[in-house]
Amino acid sequence: MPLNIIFNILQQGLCYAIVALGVYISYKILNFPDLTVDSSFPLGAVVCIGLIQVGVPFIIALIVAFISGTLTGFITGFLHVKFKISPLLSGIITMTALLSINLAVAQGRTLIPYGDKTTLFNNAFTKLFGDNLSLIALANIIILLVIVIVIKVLMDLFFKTKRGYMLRAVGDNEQMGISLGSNSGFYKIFGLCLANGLVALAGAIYSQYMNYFDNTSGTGMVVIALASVIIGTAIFKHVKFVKGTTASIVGALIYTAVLNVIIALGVPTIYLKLVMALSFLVILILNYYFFSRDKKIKKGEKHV
Amino acid sequence: MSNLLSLKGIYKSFNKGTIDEMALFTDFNLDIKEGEFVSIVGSNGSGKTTILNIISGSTPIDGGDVCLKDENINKMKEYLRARRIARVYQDPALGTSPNLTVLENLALADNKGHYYGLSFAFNKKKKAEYQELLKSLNMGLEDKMNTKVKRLSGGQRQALALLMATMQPVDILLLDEHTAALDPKTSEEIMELTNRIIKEKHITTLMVTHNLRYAIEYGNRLLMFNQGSIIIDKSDKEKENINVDDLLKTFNEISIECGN
Repeated sequence: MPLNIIFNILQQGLCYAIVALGVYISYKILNFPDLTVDSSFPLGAVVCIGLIQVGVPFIIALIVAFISGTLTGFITGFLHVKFKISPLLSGIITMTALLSINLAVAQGRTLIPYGDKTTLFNNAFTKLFGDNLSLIALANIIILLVIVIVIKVLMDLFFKTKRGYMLRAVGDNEQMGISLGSNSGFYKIFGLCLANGLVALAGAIYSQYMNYFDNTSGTGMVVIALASVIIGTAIFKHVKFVKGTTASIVGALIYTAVLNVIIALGVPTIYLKLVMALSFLVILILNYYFFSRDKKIKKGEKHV
Repeated sequence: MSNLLSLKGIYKSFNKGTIDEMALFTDFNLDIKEGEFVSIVGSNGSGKTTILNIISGSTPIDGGDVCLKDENINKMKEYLRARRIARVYQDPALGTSPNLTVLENLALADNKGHYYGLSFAFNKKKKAEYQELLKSLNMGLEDKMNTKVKRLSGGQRQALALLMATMQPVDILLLDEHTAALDPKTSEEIMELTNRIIKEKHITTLMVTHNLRYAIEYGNRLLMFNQGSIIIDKSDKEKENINVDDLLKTFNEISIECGN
Protein backbone atom coordinates (compact mmCIF):
# COMPACT_ATOMS: atom_id res chain seq x y z
CA MET A 1 0.00 0.00 0.00
CA PRO A 2 1.39 3.44 -0.86
CA LEU A 3 2.66 5.33 2.15
CA ASN A 4 0.40 8.31 1.55
CA ILE A 5 -2.70 6.15 1.85
CA ILE A 6 -1.48 4.81 5.18
CA PHE A 7 -0.81 8.36 6.35
CA ASN A 8 -4.29 9.39 5.23
CA ILE A 9 -5.87 6.50 7.05
CA LEU A 10 -4.04 7.36 10.27
CA GLN A 11 -4.91 11.05 10.15
CA GLN A 12 -8.54 10.56 9.22
CA GLY A 13 -8.85 7.53 11.47
CA LEU A 14 -7.57 9.38 14.51
CA CYS A 15 -10.08 12.20 13.89
CA TYR A 16 -12.85 9.61 13.67
CA ALA A 17 -11.46 7.93 16.80
CA ILE A 18 -12.44 11.02 18.80
CA VAL A 19 -15.99 10.75 17.42
CA ALA A 20 -15.94 7.05 18.27
CA LEU A 21 -14.88 7.85 21.85
CA GLY A 22 -17.86 10.18 22.14
CA VAL A 23 -20.26 7.67 20.67
CA TYR A 24 -18.78 5.01 22.94
CA ILE A 25 -20.24 7.01 25.82
CA SER A 26 -23.69 7.45 24.31
CA TYR A 27 -24.07 4.10 22.58
CA LYS A 28 -22.10 1.66 24.72
CA ILE A 29 -22.23 3.21 28.17
CA LEU A 30 -25.69 4.80 28.07
CA ASN A 31 -27.25 2.42 25.53
CA PHE A 32 -28.52 5.50 23.69
CA PRO A 33 -28.26 5.49 19.86
CA ASP A 34 -27.68 9.20 19.45
CA LEU A 35 -28.24 10.67 15.98
CA THR A 36 -27.32 14.18 17.14
CA VAL A 37 -23.77 13.26 16.10
CA ASP A 38 -24.39 13.99 12.41
CA SER A 39 -24.97 17.64 13.26
CA SER A 40 -22.85 18.19 16.35
CA PHE A 41 -19.79 17.22 14.29
CA PRO A 42 -20.16 20.09 11.75
CA LEU A 43 -21.35 22.40 14.55
CA GLY A 44 -17.98 21.99 16.24
CA ALA A 45 -16.30 22.73 12.93
CA VAL A 46 -18.26 25.87 12.16
CA VAL A 47 -17.93 27.25 15.69
CA CYS A 48 -14.20 26.65 15.54
CA ILE A 49 -13.63 28.27 12.15
CA GLY A 50 -15.87 31.19 13.03
CA LEU A 51 -13.82 31.93 16.14
CA ILE A 52 -10.46 31.45 14.45
CA GLN A 53 -11.46 33.83 11.66
CA VAL A 54 -12.18 36.60 14.12
CA GLY A 55 -8.76 36.05 15.68
CA VAL A 56 -9.43 33.73 18.61
CA PRO A 57 -6.50 31.36 19.32
CA PHE A 58 -7.19 27.87 17.97
CA ILE A 59 -6.91 26.19 21.39
CA ILE A 60 -9.71 28.37 22.76
CA ALA A 61 -11.71 27.80 19.57
CA LEU A 62 -11.41 24.05 20.16
CA ILE A 63 -12.59 24.37 23.75
CA VAL A 64 -15.59 26.48 22.70
CA ALA A 65 -16.35 23.91 19.97
CA PHE A 66 -16.42 21.22 22.67
CA ILE A 67 -18.81 23.32 24.75
CA SER A 68 -21.08 23.90 21.75
CA GLY A 69 -21.29 20.14 21.36
CA THR A 70 -22.20 19.63 25.02
CA LEU A 71 -25.15 21.99 24.46
CA THR A 72 -26.50 19.82 21.63
CA GLY A 73 -26.14 16.76 23.84
CA PHE A 74 -28.00 18.61 26.56
CA ILE A 75 -30.91 19.36 24.21
CA THR A 76 -31.20 15.77 23.00
CA GLY A 77 -30.94 14.45 26.55
CA PHE A 78 -33.42 16.98 27.89
CA LEU A 79 -35.99 16.08 25.20
CA HIS A 80 -35.59 12.41 26.06
CA VAL A 81 -35.59 12.71 29.84
CA LYS A 82 -38.13 15.50 30.32
CA PHE A 83 -40.65 14.65 27.62
CA LYS A 84 -39.99 10.91 27.36
CA ILE A 85 -39.26 11.20 23.62
CA SER A 86 -37.44 8.11 22.38
CA PRO A 87 -33.65 8.33 21.95
CA LEU A 88 -33.90 8.09 18.13
CA LEU A 89 -36.53 10.82 17.84
CA SER A 90 -34.82 13.16 20.31
CA GLY A 91 -31.65 12.79 18.27
CA ILE A 92 -33.42 13.39 14.97
CA ILE A 93 -35.09 16.55 16.24
CA THR A 94 -31.87 18.08 17.52
CA MET A 95 -29.91 16.93 14.48
CA THR A 96 -32.39 18.45 12.03
CA ALA A 97 -32.70 21.72 13.90
CA LEU A 98 -28.92 22.02 14.02
CA LEU A 99 -28.63 21.83 10.24
CA SER A 100 -30.13 25.32 10.10
CA ILE A 101 -28.15 26.54 13.09
CA ASN A 102 -24.93 25.39 11.45
CA LEU A 103 -25.78 27.24 8.25
CA ALA A 104 -26.72 30.33 10.24
CA VAL A 105 -23.40 30.30 12.09
CA ALA A 106 -21.66 29.85 8.73
CA GLN A 107 -23.70 32.79 7.44
CA GLY A 108 -25.12 30.64 4.67
CA ARG A 109 -21.77 29.46 3.34
CA THR A 110 -21.37 25.72 2.90
CA LEU A 111 -17.60 25.81 2.50
CA ILE A 112 -15.23 28.07 4.44
CA PRO A 113 -11.44 27.78 4.09
CA TYR A 114 -9.09 28.39 7.01
CA GLY A 115 -6.51 29.95 4.68
CA ASP A 116 -3.20 30.40 6.44
CA LYS A 117 -4.60 30.93 9.92
CA THR A 118 -2.72 29.27 12.77
CA THR A 119 -4.36 25.96 13.62
CA LEU A 120 -3.55 22.64 15.26
CA PHE A 121 -1.93 21.56 12.01
CA ASN A 122 -0.40 24.87 10.96
CA ASN A 123 1.74 26.29 13.75
CA ALA A 124 5.30 26.63 15.00
CA PHE A 125 5.49 22.89 15.78
CA THR A 126 4.35 21.68 12.35
CA LYS A 127 6.60 24.20 10.60
CA LEU A 128 9.58 22.31 12.10
CA PHE A 129 8.73 19.47 9.74
CA GLY A 130 9.32 21.63 6.65
CA ASP A 131 7.55 21.29 3.31
CA ASN A 132 7.87 17.56 2.79
CA LEU A 133 4.31 16.16 2.55
CA SER A 134 5.17 12.90 4.30
CA LEU A 135 6.85 14.74 7.15
CA ILE A 136 3.87 17.08 7.49
CA ALA A 137 1.58 14.06 7.64
CA LEU A 138 3.82 12.60 10.31
CA ALA A 139 3.57 15.79 12.35
CA ASN A 140 -0.22 15.70 12.02
CA ILE A 141 -0.30 12.09 13.14
CA ILE A 142 1.81 12.88 16.22
CA ILE A 143 -0.49 15.76 17.17
CA LEU A 144 -3.64 13.68 16.67
CA LEU A 145 -2.20 10.71 18.51
CA VAL A 146 -1.37 12.87 21.54
CA ILE A 147 -4.89 14.32 21.57
CA VAL A 148 -6.56 10.92 21.21
CA ILE A 149 -4.42 9.38 23.96
CA VAL A 150 -5.06 12.28 26.33
CA ILE A 151 -8.83 11.98 25.78
CA LYS A 152 -8.69 8.21 26.20
CA VAL A 153 -6.72 8.41 29.47
CA LEU A 154 -9.03 11.11 30.84
CA MET A 155 -12.05 8.96 29.96
CA ASP A 156 -10.53 5.86 31.56
CA LEU A 157 -9.85 7.84 34.72
CA PHE A 158 -13.36 9.29 34.65
CA PHE A 159 -14.89 5.82 34.46
CA LYS A 160 -13.14 4.94 37.70
CA THR A 161 -14.77 7.80 39.59
CA LYS A 162 -18.07 7.69 41.42
CA ARG A 163 -19.72 9.67 38.67
CA GLY A 164 -18.25 7.40 36.01
CA TYR A 165 -19.60 4.34 37.82
CA MET A 166 -22.98 5.97 38.12
CA LEU A 167 -23.05 6.72 34.40
CA ARG A 168 -22.32 3.09 33.62
CA ALA A 169 -24.91 1.85 36.11
CA VAL A 170 -27.64 4.14 34.74
CA GLY A 171 -26.91 3.01 31.18
CA ASP A 172 -26.97 -0.57 32.35
CA ASN A 173 -30.12 -0.44 34.44
CA GLU A 174 -32.07 2.78 34.78
CA GLN A 175 -33.82 1.61 37.93
CA MET A 176 -30.37 1.30 39.54
CA GLY A 177 -29.83 5.05 39.46
CA ILE A 178 -33.17 5.62 41.17
CA SER A 179 -32.49 2.90 43.75
CA LEU A 180 -29.21 4.63 44.55
CA GLY A 181 -31.11 7.79 45.35
CA SER A 182 -29.97 9.60 42.25
CA ASN A 183 -31.73 11.30 39.38
CA SER A 184 -31.05 8.91 36.48
CA GLY A 185 -32.15 11.54 33.98
CA PHE A 186 -29.45 13.93 35.15
CA TYR A 187 -26.73 11.36 34.53
CA LYS A 188 -28.13 10.51 31.09
CA ILE A 189 -28.07 14.16 30.08
CA PHE A 190 -24.59 14.53 31.53
CA GLY A 191 -23.35 11.56 29.49
CA LEU A 192 -24.89 12.89 26.28
CA CYS A 193 -23.26 16.28 26.90
CA LEU A 194 -19.85 14.65 27.21
CA ALA A 195 -20.46 12.47 24.15
CA ASN A 196 -21.52 15.31 21.88
CA GLY A 197 -18.82 17.58 23.28
CA LEU A 198 -16.26 15.08 22.06
CA VAL A 199 -18.01 14.75 18.69
CA ALA A 200 -18.01 18.53 18.19
CA LEU A 201 -14.36 18.68 19.24
CA ALA A 202 -13.63 15.98 16.65
CA GLY A 203 -15.51 18.01 14.03
CA ALA A 204 -13.43 21.08 14.86
CA ILE A 205 -10.17 19.12 14.71
CA TYR A 206 -11.21 17.44 11.46
CA SER A 207 -11.99 20.78 9.83
CA GLN A 208 -8.57 22.09 10.87
CA TYR A 209 -6.98 18.98 9.41
CA MET A 210 -8.87 19.44 6.11
CA ASN A 211 -8.12 23.17 6.38
CA TYR A 212 -11.72 24.06 5.54
CA PHE A 213 -15.20 23.81 7.01
CA ASP A 214 -17.60 21.67 5.01
CA ASN A 215 -21.26 21.90 5.93
CA THR A 216 -21.86 18.28 4.87
CA SER A 217 -18.91 16.82 6.78
CA GLY A 218 -21.21 15.34 9.42
CA THR A 219 -23.40 13.33 7.07
CA GLY A 220 -22.95 9.66 7.88
CA MET A 221 -20.84 10.39 10.95
CA VAL A 222 -23.23 8.31 13.05
CA VAL A 223 -22.54 5.32 10.84
CA ILE A 224 -18.78 5.82 10.99
CA ALA A 225 -18.83 6.16 14.77
CA LEU A 226 -21.18 3.26 15.43
CA ALA A 227 -19.25 1.03 13.04
CA SER A 228 -16.00 1.96 14.81
CA VAL A 229 -17.36 1.25 18.27
CA ILE A 230 -19.00 -2.02 17.20
CA ILE A 231 -15.91 -3.29 15.33
CA GLY A 232 -13.65 -2.38 18.23
CA THR A 233 -15.75 -3.90 20.97
CA ALA A 234 -16.44 -7.04 18.88
CA ILE A 235 -12.75 -7.67 18.24
CA PHE A 236 -11.73 -7.20 21.85
CA LYS A 237 -14.83 -8.74 23.35
CA HIS A 238 -12.97 -11.58 24.97
CA VAL A 239 -9.77 -9.69 25.75
CA LYS A 240 -10.34 -8.46 29.26
CA PHE A 241 -7.48 -6.01 29.64
CA VAL A 242 -8.40 -3.95 26.55
CA LYS A 243 -10.70 -1.14 27.61
CA GLY A 244 -13.74 -0.05 25.62
CA THR A 245 -12.03 3.26 24.88
CA THR A 246 -9.00 1.56 23.31
CA ALA A 247 -11.29 -0.78 21.40
CA SER A 248 -13.23 2.18 19.96
CA ILE A 249 -10.03 3.88 18.80
CA VAL A 250 -8.77 0.70 17.11
CA GLY A 251 -12.23 0.19 15.60
CA ALA A 252 -12.15 3.69 14.12
CA LEU A 253 -8.74 3.07 12.56
CA ILE A 254 -9.88 -0.25 11.08
CA TYR A 255 -13.09 1.16 9.65
CA THR A 256 -11.29 4.16 8.14
CA ALA A 257 -8.75 1.76 6.62
CA VAL A 258 -11.49 -0.35 5.08
CA LEU A 259 -13.18 2.71 3.55
CA ASN A 260 -9.93 4.13 2.19
CA VAL A 261 -8.80 0.85 0.70
CA ILE A 262 -12.11 0.35 -1.08
CA ILE A 263 -11.93 3.88 -2.53
CA ALA A 264 -8.25 3.35 -3.43
CA LEU A 265 -9.25 0.23 -5.36
CA GLY A 266 -11.03 2.49 -7.80
CA VAL A 267 -14.60 2.82 -6.53
CA PRO A 268 -15.76 6.32 -7.51
CA THR A 269 -16.03 8.63 -4.50
CA ILE A 270 -19.71 9.34 -5.20
CA TYR A 271 -20.29 5.84 -3.86
CA LEU A 272 -18.50 6.60 -0.59
CA LYS A 273 -21.68 6.66 1.51
CA LEU A 274 -22.89 3.46 -0.16
CA VAL A 275 -19.57 1.85 0.69
CA MET A 276 -19.87 3.14 4.23
CA ALA A 277 -23.34 1.72 4.70
CA LEU A 278 -22.55 -1.63 3.10
CA SER A 279 -19.35 -2.17 5.03
CA PHE A 280 -21.22 -1.28 8.22
CA LEU A 281 -23.80 -3.91 7.28
CA VAL A 282 -21.07 -6.47 6.63
CA ILE A 283 -19.56 -5.65 10.03
CA LEU A 284 -22.89 -6.17 11.79
CA ILE A 285 -23.38 -9.50 10.02
CA LEU A 286 -19.84 -10.65 10.81
CA ASN A 287 -20.35 -9.56 14.39
CA TYR A 288 -23.52 -11.64 14.55
CA TYR A 289 -22.00 -14.81 13.11
CA PHE A 290 -18.46 -14.81 14.39
CA PHE A 291 -18.06 -12.63 17.42
CA SER A 292 -21.11 -13.33 19.52
CA ARG A 293 -20.74 -16.67 21.25
CA ASP A 294 -24.39 -17.29 21.76
CA LYS A 295 -26.35 -16.10 18.78
CA LYS A 296 -29.64 -15.89 20.52
CA ILE A 297 -30.04 -12.45 21.99
CA LYS A 298 -30.97 -13.02 25.57
CA LYS A 299 -33.62 -11.04 27.34
CA GLY A 300 -32.22 -7.80 28.58
CA GLU A 301 -29.11 -7.92 26.46
CA LYS A 302 -28.46 -5.15 24.04
CA HIS A 303 -29.11 -5.71 20.36
CA VAL A 304 -26.11 -4.93 18.17
CA MET B 1 -44.53 3.86 69.74
CA SER B 2 -45.14 6.30 66.95
CA ASN B 3 -45.82 5.26 63.40
CA LEU B 4 -42.86 5.10 61.08
CA LEU B 5 -44.96 4.89 57.96
CA SER B 6 -48.61 5.63 57.55
CA LEU B 7 -50.86 5.37 54.55
CA LYS B 8 -54.02 7.39 55.03
CA GLY B 9 -57.12 7.19 52.88
CA ILE B 10 -55.24 5.97 49.81
CA TYR B 11 -57.30 6.05 46.63
CA LYS B 12 -55.91 4.47 43.50
CA SER B 13 -57.63 3.42 40.32
CA PHE B 14 -56.30 1.98 37.10
CA ASN B 15 -57.29 2.61 33.47
CA LYS B 16 -58.78 5.90 34.48
CA GLY B 17 -61.29 7.39 32.07
CA THR B 18 -61.81 4.15 30.20
CA ILE B 19 -64.56 1.56 30.35
CA ASP B 20 -62.11 -0.72 32.20
CA GLU B 21 -61.62 1.74 35.06
CA MET B 22 -61.04 -0.20 38.24
CA ALA B 23 -60.58 1.28 41.67
CA LEU B 24 -58.10 -0.94 43.49
CA PHE B 25 -57.83 1.10 46.67
CA THR B 26 -60.68 3.18 48.01
CA ASP B 27 -59.78 4.58 51.41
CA PHE B 28 -56.90 2.25 52.24
CA ASN B 29 -55.23 2.77 55.61
CA LEU B 30 -52.11 1.17 57.04
CA ASP B 31 -49.77 2.11 59.87
CA ILE B 32 -46.34 0.56 60.26
CA LYS B 33 -44.48 0.97 63.56
CA GLU B 34 -40.76 1.28 63.91
CA GLY B 35 -39.04 -2.10 64.05
CA GLU B 36 -41.93 -4.08 62.58
CA PHE B 37 -41.22 -6.85 60.10
CA VAL B 38 -44.46 -7.17 58.18
CA SER B 39 -45.19 -9.99 55.76
CA ILE B 40 -47.91 -9.38 53.20
CA VAL B 41 -49.75 -12.18 51.42
CA GLY B 42 -52.68 -12.17 49.04
CA SER B 43 -53.78 -13.38 45.64
CA ASN B 44 -52.70 -11.85 42.36
CA GLY B 45 -54.21 -8.43 41.83
CA SER B 46 -54.94 -7.91 45.50
CA GLY B 47 -52.72 -4.83 45.58
CA LYS B 48 -49.63 -6.11 47.41
CA THR B 49 -47.08 -4.92 44.89
CA THR B 50 -49.07 -1.77 44.13
CA ILE B 51 -48.80 -0.77 47.78
CA LEU B 52 -45.02 -1.17 47.62
CA ASN B 53 -45.02 0.91 44.42
CA ILE B 54 -47.08 3.60 46.14
CA ILE B 55 -44.71 3.69 49.10
CA SER B 56 -41.58 3.82 46.95
CA GLY B 57 -43.15 6.44 44.69
CA SER B 58 -43.02 4.56 41.39
CA THR B 59 -46.83 4.58 41.19
CA PRO B 60 -48.63 7.90 41.76
CA ILE B 61 -51.75 7.90 43.93
CA ASP B 62 -55.09 9.52 43.12
CA GLY B 63 -55.87 10.49 46.68
CA GLY B 64 -54.76 10.12 50.28
CA ASP B 65 -51.45 10.63 52.05
CA VAL B 66 -48.21 8.73 52.40
CA CYS B 67 -46.32 9.79 55.52
CA LEU B 68 -42.84 8.72 56.53
CA LYS B 69 -41.80 9.69 60.06
CA ASP B 70 -44.71 12.16 60.20
CA GLU B 71 -43.54 13.84 57.01
CA ASN B 72 -45.90 13.82 54.05
CA ILE B 73 -43.96 12.41 51.11
CA ASN B 74 -46.75 12.51 48.49
CA LYS B 75 -44.82 14.92 46.32
CA MET B 76 -41.35 13.50 46.94
CA LYS B 77 -39.74 12.08 43.79
CA GLU B 78 -38.98 8.38 43.59
CA TYR B 79 -35.19 8.77 43.58
CA LEU B 80 -35.33 11.01 46.66
CA ARG B 81 -37.57 8.57 48.50
CA ALA B 82 -35.11 5.82 47.59
CA ARG B 83 -32.56 7.42 49.91
CA ARG B 84 -34.83 6.49 52.81
CA ILE B 85 -36.80 3.59 51.38
CA ALA B 86 -34.73 0.67 50.06
CA ARG B 87 -36.21 -1.98 47.84
CA VAL B 88 -35.32 -5.45 46.60
CA TYR B 89 -37.21 -6.68 43.57
CA GLN B 90 -38.36 -10.10 42.43
CA ASP B 91 -36.26 -9.76 39.28
CA PRO B 92 -32.59 -9.99 40.32
CA ALA B 93 -31.75 -7.83 37.28
CA LEU B 94 -33.45 -4.76 38.77
CA GLY B 95 -31.51 -4.38 41.99
CA THR B 96 -28.01 -4.58 40.55
CA SER B 97 -26.12 -3.32 37.54
CA PRO B 98 -25.45 -6.46 35.42
CA ASN B 99 -22.46 -5.21 33.41
CA LEU B 100 -20.62 -3.86 36.44
CA THR B 101 -18.58 -6.09 38.72
CA VAL B 102 -19.60 -7.05 42.25
CA LEU B 103 -17.02 -4.64 43.62
CA GLU B 104 -18.25 -1.78 41.41
CA ASN B 105 -21.86 -2.40 42.42
CA LEU B 106 -20.93 -2.34 46.10
CA ALA B 107 -18.92 0.85 45.69
CA LEU B 108 -21.96 2.50 44.10
CA ALA B 109 -24.35 1.32 46.80
CA ASP B 110 -21.94 2.45 49.52
CA ASN B 111 -22.28 6.02 48.23
CA LYS B 112 -26.06 5.93 48.05
CA GLY B 113 -27.70 9.26 48.74
CA HIS B 114 -24.38 11.09 48.58
CA TYR B 115 -22.85 13.09 45.78
CA TYR B 116 -21.46 11.04 42.90
CA GLY B 117 -18.52 13.24 42.04
CA LEU B 118 -15.09 12.88 40.52
CA SER B 119 -13.35 11.12 43.38
CA PHE B 120 -12.35 7.49 42.89
CA ALA B 121 -15.12 5.06 43.65
CA PHE B 122 -13.14 2.92 46.08
CA ASN B 123 -9.69 2.36 47.56
CA LYS B 124 -7.79 -0.62 48.96
CA LYS B 125 -9.21 -0.18 52.44
CA LYS B 126 -12.78 -0.05 51.16
CA LYS B 127 -12.12 -3.07 48.99
CA ALA B 128 -11.05 -5.12 52.00
CA GLU B 129 -14.13 -3.90 53.85
CA TYR B 130 -16.42 -5.02 51.03
CA GLN B 131 -14.71 -8.40 50.93
CA GLU B 132 -15.46 -8.90 54.63
CA LEU B 133 -19.08 -7.92 54.06
CA LEU B 134 -19.42 -10.40 51.21
CA LYS B 135 -17.83 -13.12 53.32
CA SER B 136 -20.49 -12.61 55.96
CA LEU B 137 -23.16 -13.47 53.38
CA ASN B 138 -21.81 -17.02 53.00
CA MET B 139 -22.74 -17.05 49.32
CA GLY B 140 -19.23 -17.44 47.90
CA LEU B 141 -19.29 -13.86 46.66
CA GLU B 142 -16.01 -12.87 48.31
CA ASP B 143 -14.09 -14.72 45.56
CA LYS B 144 -16.10 -13.03 42.82
CA MET B 145 -15.37 -9.38 43.51
CA ASN B 146 -14.24 -8.75 39.95
CA THR B 147 -16.93 -10.83 38.25
CA LYS B 148 -19.64 -9.05 36.30
CA VAL B 149 -22.90 -9.35 38.18
CA LYS B 150 -24.70 -10.87 35.18
CA ARG B 151 -22.39 -13.89 35.48
CA LEU B 152 -23.58 -14.63 39.03
CA SER B 153 -26.33 -17.07 39.95
CA GLY B 154 -29.80 -15.76 40.79
CA GLY B 155 -29.24 -16.41 44.50
CA GLN B 156 -25.91 -14.61 44.53
CA ARG B 157 -27.47 -11.65 42.73
CA GLN B 158 -30.34 -11.42 45.20
CA ALA B 159 -27.91 -11.65 48.14
CA LEU B 160 -25.90 -8.84 46.59
CA ALA B 161 -29.05 -6.78 45.93
CA LEU B 162 -30.07 -7.26 49.56
CA LEU B 163 -26.65 -6.20 50.80
CA MET B 164 -26.65 -3.17 48.50
CA ALA B 165 -30.13 -2.10 49.60
CA THR B 166 -29.15 -2.15 53.27
CA MET B 167 -25.56 -0.88 53.07
CA GLN B 168 -26.54 2.67 53.96
CA PRO B 169 -28.98 3.21 56.81
CA VAL B 170 -32.59 3.38 55.60
CA ASP B 171 -35.92 4.03 57.28
CA ILE B 172 -37.72 1.13 55.70
CA LEU B 173 -36.96 -1.88 53.50
CA LEU B 174 -39.41 -3.13 50.88
CA LEU B 175 -39.05 -6.73 49.73
CA ASP B 176 -41.10 -7.47 46.63
CA GLU B 177 -41.34 -11.28 46.34
CA HIS B 178 -37.58 -11.20 46.41
CA THR B 179 -37.19 -14.97 46.64
CA ALA B 180 -39.87 -15.88 44.09
CA ALA B 181 -37.50 -16.31 41.15
CA LEU B 182 -35.16 -18.66 43.01
CA ASP B 183 -35.09 -22.42 43.47
CA PRO B 184 -36.46 -23.72 46.82
CA LYS B 185 -33.05 -24.25 48.46
CA THR B 186 -31.64 -20.89 47.39
CA SER B 187 -34.91 -19.23 48.27
CA GLU B 188 -34.54 -20.64 51.79
CA GLU B 189 -30.96 -19.36 52.05
CA ILE B 190 -31.91 -15.86 50.90
CA MET B 191 -34.83 -15.79 53.32
CA GLU B 192 -32.53 -16.75 56.22
CA LEU B 193 -30.05 -14.11 55.14
CA THR B 194 -32.81 -11.52 54.88
CA ASN B 195 -34.00 -12.30 58.38
CA ARG B 196 -30.46 -12.06 59.74
CA ILE B 197 -29.77 -8.69 58.11
CA ILE B 198 -33.10 -7.26 59.25
CA LYS B 199 -32.50 -8.39 62.84
CA GLU B 200 -28.88 -7.23 62.95
CA LYS B 201 -29.67 -3.80 61.61
CA HIS B 202 -33.15 -3.45 63.14
CA ILE B 203 -34.67 -2.44 59.82
CA THR B 204 -38.41 -1.88 59.58
CA THR B 205 -39.48 -4.15 56.73
CA LEU B 206 -42.45 -4.80 54.46
CA MET B 207 -42.19 -8.14 52.69
CA VAL B 208 -44.58 -9.21 49.96
CA THR B 209 -44.47 -12.96 49.45
CA HIS B 210 -46.41 -15.78 47.85
CA ASN B 211 -44.88 -18.22 50.26
CA LEU B 212 -47.36 -18.60 53.14
CA ARG B 213 -44.82 -20.47 55.24
CA TYR B 214 -42.32 -17.60 55.04
CA ALA B 215 -45.10 -15.18 55.91
CA ILE B 216 -45.82 -17.12 59.09
CA GLU B 217 -42.28 -18.11 60.01
CA TYR B 218 -40.67 -14.71 59.57
CA GLY B 219 -41.56 -11.30 60.85
CA ASN B 220 -43.76 -10.11 63.68
CA ARG B 221 -46.84 -8.99 61.79
CA LEU B 222 -48.85 -10.59 59.02
CA LEU B 223 -51.25 -8.95 56.59
CA MET B 224 -53.49 -10.61 54.04
CA PHE B 225 -54.72 -8.44 51.19
CA ASN B 226 -57.82 -9.05 49.17
CA GLN B 227 -59.05 -6.73 46.42
CA GLY B 228 -57.39 -3.70 47.85
CA SER B 229 -58.26 -4.18 51.50
CA ILE B 230 -56.62 -5.85 54.45
CA ILE B 231 -58.62 -8.88 55.59
CA ILE B 232 -56.14 -10.32 58.09
CA ASP B 233 -53.88 -8.25 60.32
CA LYS B 234 -52.18 -10.20 63.12
CA SER B 235 -49.26 -9.09 65.25
CA ASP B 236 -46.89 -10.76 67.69
CA LYS B 237 -48.78 -13.31 69.89
CA GLU B 238 -51.77 -13.50 67.56
CA LYS B 239 -49.50 -14.10 64.64
CA GLU B 240 -47.69 -16.93 66.38
CA ASN B 241 -50.95 -18.84 66.57
CA ILE B 242 -51.61 -18.80 62.84
CA ASN B 243 -50.63 -21.83 60.83
CA VAL B 244 -50.34 -22.45 57.11
CA ASP B 245 -53.59 -24.43 56.94
CA ASP B 246 -55.69 -21.63 58.46
CA LEU B 247 -54.11 -19.15 56.15
CA LEU B 248 -54.64 -21.37 53.13
CA LYS B 249 -58.27 -21.87 54.12
CA THR B 250 -58.93 -18.13 54.21
CA PHE B 251 -57.01 -17.80 51.00
CA ASN B 252 -59.22 -20.37 49.30
CA GLU B 253 -62.41 -18.80 50.61
CA ILE B 254 -61.58 -15.42 49.18
CA SER B 255 -60.43 -17.04 45.95
CA ILE B 256 -63.80 -18.74 45.55
CA GLU B 257 -65.56 -15.46 46.22
CA CYS B 258 -63.54 -13.87 43.45
CA GLY B 259 -64.36 -16.73 41.16
CA ASN B 260 -60.73 -17.82 40.76
